[in-house]
Amino acid sequence: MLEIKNVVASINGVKILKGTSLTIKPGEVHAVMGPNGSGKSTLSKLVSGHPDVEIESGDILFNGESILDDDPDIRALKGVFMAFQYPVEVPGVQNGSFLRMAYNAKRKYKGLDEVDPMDFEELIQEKLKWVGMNESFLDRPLNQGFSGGEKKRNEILQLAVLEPMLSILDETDSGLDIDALRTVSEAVNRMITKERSFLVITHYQRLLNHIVPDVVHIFSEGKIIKTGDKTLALEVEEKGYDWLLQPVS
Amino acid sequence: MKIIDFQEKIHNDKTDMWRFTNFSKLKKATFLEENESELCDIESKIESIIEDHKAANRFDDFIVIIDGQVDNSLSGVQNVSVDFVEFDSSENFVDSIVTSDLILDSSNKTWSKKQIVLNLEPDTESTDNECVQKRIKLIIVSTGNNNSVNIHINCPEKSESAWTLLEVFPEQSSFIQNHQLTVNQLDGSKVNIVYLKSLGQDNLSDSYHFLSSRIKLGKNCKLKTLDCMENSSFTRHKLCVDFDGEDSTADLFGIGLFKEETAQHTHIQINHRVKNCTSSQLYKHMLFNRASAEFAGLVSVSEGASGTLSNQSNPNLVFSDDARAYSRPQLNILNDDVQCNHGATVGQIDELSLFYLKSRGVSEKEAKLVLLKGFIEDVFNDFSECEQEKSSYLEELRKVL
Ligand SMILES: Nc1ncnc2c1ncn2[C@@H]1O[C@H](COP(=O)(O)OP(=O)(O)O)[C@@H](O)[C@H]1O
Ligand SMILES: [Mg+2]
Repeated sequence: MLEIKNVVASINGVKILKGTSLTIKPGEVHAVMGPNGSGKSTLSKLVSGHPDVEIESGDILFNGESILDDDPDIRALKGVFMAFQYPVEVPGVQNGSFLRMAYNAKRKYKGLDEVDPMDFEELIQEKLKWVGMNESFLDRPLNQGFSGGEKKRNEILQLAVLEPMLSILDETDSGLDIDALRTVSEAVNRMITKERSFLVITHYQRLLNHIVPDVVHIFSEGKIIKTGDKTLALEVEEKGYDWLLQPVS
Repeated sequence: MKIIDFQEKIHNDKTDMWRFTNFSKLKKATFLEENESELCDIESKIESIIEDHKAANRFDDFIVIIDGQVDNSLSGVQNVSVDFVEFDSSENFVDSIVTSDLILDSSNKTWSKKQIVLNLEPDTESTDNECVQKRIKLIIVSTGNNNSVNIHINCPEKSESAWTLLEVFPEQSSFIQNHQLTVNQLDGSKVNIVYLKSLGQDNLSDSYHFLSSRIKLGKNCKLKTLDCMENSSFTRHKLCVDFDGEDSTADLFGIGLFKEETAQHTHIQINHRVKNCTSSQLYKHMLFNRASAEFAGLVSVSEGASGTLSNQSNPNLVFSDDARAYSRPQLNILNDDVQCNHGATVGQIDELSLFYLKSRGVSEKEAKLVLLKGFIEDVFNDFSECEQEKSSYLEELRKVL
């Protein structure tokens, strides 16, 4: 599904990713954990095509093809989705109509007709329930004035509607209380199939109790420094990152 | 993209509203002469406009003014009586050239010869708390024969009316228009005024528009204006609002889409002369290529005008390095008990928002359009009669993005 090949990338001339490699197969759930500022968000921006991230070397393959030359919208249409750590407030754009617009863009890409508004209404009502949101959120400007938790739910609502092949969750758990965390995780779990892949970025092991990863990576200073199974997350939770950061003798 | 701070760079005589209007282009233009084919074109255009509006049933009255004369056969009036006032011909405009404003003023009076006075009839059916809004459309046609129109609108007490002034002109020709509009709002009246040019004409490259409006508000009045501005090589709109009665409100909106080498000057003057009046200005501009737009808004608050609230905002979106947005908000306040804000911004489409929308699979163009739709929306909020114009702006934007 996704192959990040030895990528070196910078933001504003500062090198942040220093040779990152990561391979995710269809159906796999990968978790990335790491200290603040280690470059986790940069990694997710890299895959989704954020204009700030400049690639110096390396490649990203999505379903076997390089997506480096694809604009963010093309990557999205091909099946990449990033749930933002800090979702953007867009005044003047209505949440619900934007969702339908994005949904239709995807349908068009697949050669399908625009969705019938009634059918979309039905679909959206179901997905709203998944993430525990009230339909009044559809009439509001996109993310504007949403609380931190509401923004995160809204990201997962988009994810549930757009059904991407690869979902990157960038610290979706931050800003969610325990109940919201459970609801949102359940929504994500409903999306997991043998075809779809997930890259879950988090600080805390807590989220990984709900969304259980197949593979856990520890990220530090722009690189994956250790890879293991879900017990690695527990170990990090217990000991912190420091023990990993010591030079291995 | 460059911002020029007028206050700093150029002398700031606060009453001089013309300093930044560059007439050099105007001097070089040659103007339209009567032309048979153009006239046919414009006649069919007026007819189709009238047919459209009859079908949509959006207006109660429409008044067609061709080259300064009311065309009775094309007009349909029920709620308005039409009068004329002859201007005094002894007032020779050449004698009165003192400032540029007066030149336009005198030349308007000389060429239009008479003022068209539109009296909105009092609403006899309405009760005290219920008033039906009368929707009136003025179709102002210039064929090149006479470039000046002078209109005066009288709105009786407690009346409610929405006036749409639509300018129609031949395509692909150079011409000059010099119009004046005065409105008198009696106590308790509510008035909406929308000013439009027939949108979507790409070839207004040699057209010059001057419009000077003055609106007087009595007590307890409400005024909303919307100025829809578009490509023409040179446009200058002056709008003056006088608060003569207490507890009145004026909300002035403007939207401008300037695609080519155009110069737009908007000069607003609001005179808060009495207590407890509120005014707001929201003018949004979008500039492409070598367009330039100047917004100068002066709010004057007299000594006696305590309780004045005034807000002024002029956001500009600039899409090219060669476009220029000039913003010159000014306050002249002689009373302590007032709240006045002003703000002007010049910027580009927010990159982060654009990325966010694109990251959901929406193309760059559609994402920009949806952001621009959001940008222009609040200007149109109070003008349900302008749905069509709002969509025309979006269509125009779709073409130029
Ligand atoms: N726009 C930017 N300009 C400059 N530095 C940035 C920018 N965005 C991120 N960085 C820097 O890149 C590093 C990695 O940031 P980030 O990827 O957000 O880390 P994480 O998500 O792991 O906390 C940090 O040191 C951060 O300050
Ligand atoms: Mg981060």
